[in-house]
Amino acid sequence: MGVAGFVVNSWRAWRRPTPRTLAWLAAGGALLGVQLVRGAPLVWSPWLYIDAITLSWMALAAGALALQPSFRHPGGVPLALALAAACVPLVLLPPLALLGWVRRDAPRRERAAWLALTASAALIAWRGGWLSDGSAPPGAVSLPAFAGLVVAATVPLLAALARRSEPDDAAPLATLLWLLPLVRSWADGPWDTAWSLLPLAVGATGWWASAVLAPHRPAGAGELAYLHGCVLAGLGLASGAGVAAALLALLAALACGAGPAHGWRATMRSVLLLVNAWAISGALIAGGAALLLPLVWLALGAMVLNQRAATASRHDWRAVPLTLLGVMGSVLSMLPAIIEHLQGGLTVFGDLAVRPWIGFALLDAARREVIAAPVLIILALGAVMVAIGSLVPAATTAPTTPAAPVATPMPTAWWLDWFRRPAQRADDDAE
Amino acid sequence: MTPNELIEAIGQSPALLFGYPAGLALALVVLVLRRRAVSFLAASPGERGALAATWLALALSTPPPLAPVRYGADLLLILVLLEWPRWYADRASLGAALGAYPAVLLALACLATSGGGLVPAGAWVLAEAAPPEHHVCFWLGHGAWVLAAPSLVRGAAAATPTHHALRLLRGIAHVVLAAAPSMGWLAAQDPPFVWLIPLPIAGVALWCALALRAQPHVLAVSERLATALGIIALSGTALWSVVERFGPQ
Repeated sequence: MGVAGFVVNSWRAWRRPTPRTLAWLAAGGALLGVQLVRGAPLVWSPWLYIDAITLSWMALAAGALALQPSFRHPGGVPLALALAAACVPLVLLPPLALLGWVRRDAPRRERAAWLALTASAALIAWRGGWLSDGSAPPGAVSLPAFAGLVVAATVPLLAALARRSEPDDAAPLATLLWLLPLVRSWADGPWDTAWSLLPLAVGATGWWASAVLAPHRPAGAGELAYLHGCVLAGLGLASGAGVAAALLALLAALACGAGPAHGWRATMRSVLLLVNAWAISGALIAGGAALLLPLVWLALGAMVLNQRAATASRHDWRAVPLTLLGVMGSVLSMLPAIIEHLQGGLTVFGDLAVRPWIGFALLDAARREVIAAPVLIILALGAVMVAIGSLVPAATTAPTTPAAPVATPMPTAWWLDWFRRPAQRADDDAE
Repeated sequence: MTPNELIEAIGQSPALLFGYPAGLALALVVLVLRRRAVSFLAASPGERGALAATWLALALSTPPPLAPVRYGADLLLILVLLEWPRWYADRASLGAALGAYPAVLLALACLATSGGGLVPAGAWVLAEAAPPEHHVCFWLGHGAWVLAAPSLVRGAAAATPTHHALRLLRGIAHVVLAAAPSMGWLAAQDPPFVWLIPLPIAGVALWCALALRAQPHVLAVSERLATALGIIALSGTALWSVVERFGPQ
C-alpha cells in the first residue's frame, strides 16, 4: 500500500470511524489530557477527581482495546466499571468491586480478586482513606490491606499461567482495574517500605514460573505472565525507576495479549519483551537489587527456548522502529506525570530521566545514569547505516526467498536445567 | 535535550562507525574474508540487518581510551544488539554461547554494583574513592567476563559468507567488551598507560584462541568457574555492605 492508499484509508477511517479508530482517538486524547492535568488535577468535587493516573489508565485501556487482534466491544458494564473505578474515590470502590464479584460466570480466581479488592478498599476507607487524591491520613494503608491489593494484582499473573484460560474481552479492563488501587496506594505513602518486598518476591516467582511452565502453556501465555511479573516486581521496588518499569510492562502486557502472533505483532512482542527486561534490570540496579538481574534475563531466555511452538514465527522487522517510537512516546507523555503524582510514597533509589529528542534513562540514588537508551540516536544511526548499506553493490544473486519456518532443535545449556521441569503427567500437555 | 544535540550525535556517527573500534574491526573482517577468498556480496536483507546491528553495537560501545559519547547507550543495550542475530538469524550458533550467559549477566551486575550503573562511563571506571569491596567486586566481575568470553566468541560452522563475517565481527566485539574494564583501569591511571591499552585486548584474544583450541571441557569448566566467581563477588559485596551497616561499630 502506497502513501496514496494510506491517505485514502485514513480519510475513510476518519469519515466512518470504526470502534478501533474511536479507541485510538480516545487513547490519544487521554494522553494529551495527561499533560493538561499534570501537577494540577481537576477536582470538581471530592467525589469526582481526574488526575494523571485516571487519564493514563483511560489511555492504557483504550490503547489495549485498539491493539486487540479482533476488536469487539468489551460490553457496557465492564467499560463503565473500569471508567468509574478510575475516577471515583476509594470509598466507592468496594460496592463497584462487589458488582464485579456477582458478575455471572466469572471464573473463581476472578471472584477472589474482586473479593480481595473489596476487602482491602473497605479496610483503607475504614482507616480514613476515603478519597483517592492522596489525602489519606498516615497509616491508612495497613499491611493486610496492602496484602489484599497485592493479591488482586497477582490474579492476572495467575490467570495467564492457568491451565485452562478462556478468552475474555473484558480482561484488559479487569487487569487495569485490579492494579489501580495498588498503584494509587503509593500516593498515600510513605508507609513501611519493607512491605514492598512482597510484590517483588511475587514478581520474581512469576518470572520463574513463566519460564518453567512455558512448554506446558499456549504460546504467548508465558510471556504475558512474565510481563505481569515485571509489573509486580517494578511496583515492589517502590522507586520512580521501578514504577516506570512496571508501567512499561503493563503497557506491553496489554498490547501483546495472550494469543499467538505473526508478522508485525510478533516483532512488537519481542521488542516489548526486551524493552521490559532492560527497564526492570535498570530499576533493580538502581534499587540495589542487582543480584536479581541475571534472573530476569535467564528467565526470559529460558522462556523463549522452552516455548511449545518450536516453529519460528515470521517477523516483520519494520515494526521495530515503530514499536520503539511508540514506547518512547508513551513514556514521554505518561510516566513523568504518574511518577510525580506518586512521589510521596516512593523512595529515592531510582528515578526516570526523560530526554526529548534523545531517549530516556534511569537514574540511581546519586542521580547517576544507571542505564540509558538513546532511542532516537540509535534509530538515526540505523538510518545512516541503511544509507551506507544502499551504496554497497547489491547482491549478485537474487536473494533466496525465506523457506517456510522450520522447527529448530532446542539448544542445550547447563543452566537451562534450572528452569526445566520434568514432564510429570501426560495430561499436563493435553489440555 | 534539543534537536541540536540529536544532530550533533548523528554528526559524530562517521567517527563512531568508521573509527576505533567499529571501523577497525570491520576492516579486519574484510581483510580476513579476502584472505580466505570468501565473496561477501550475496546477502539477504535480514542478514544485512544482523550485520548492521553487530556493527552498531561495536560503534556504540566506545571502549576506554575513547571518551564516552554524550547520551550513549548502556551495556545491556549493546549486548542485546550484539546477541539478537544469534536468536533470530543465526540460531545454529546459539547453543554454543548459551552456557556463558549467566556469567556475563553476573559480571554486568558486578560492574554495575561496583561502579555507577551500566553506562560505559560508569561501568568501566573504578572510582578512586570506592570502598575495597567494590574493588574486589569489579575485578572479580571482570575476571568472570574474561573467563566466559571464549564461549561467546565461539560459533557454529558458518552457513553463508554473511554468517562468516557476522561471527568474526561478533567475536571481535566480545573480546573488546571483555577487555574493556582493564583498559578503563589503565586509562584512568595518572599518567595514563596509553601504550599498554592494546595489551588487554591482545590478552583476551590470546586466551580465547587458546581456549577454543583446547579440549571442550576447558570451556565448560571456565563457564562454570566464571558463574561461581560472579555469584561469590555479588553475594560477598551484599553481605559486606549488610555487615557494615548493621554490624558492631
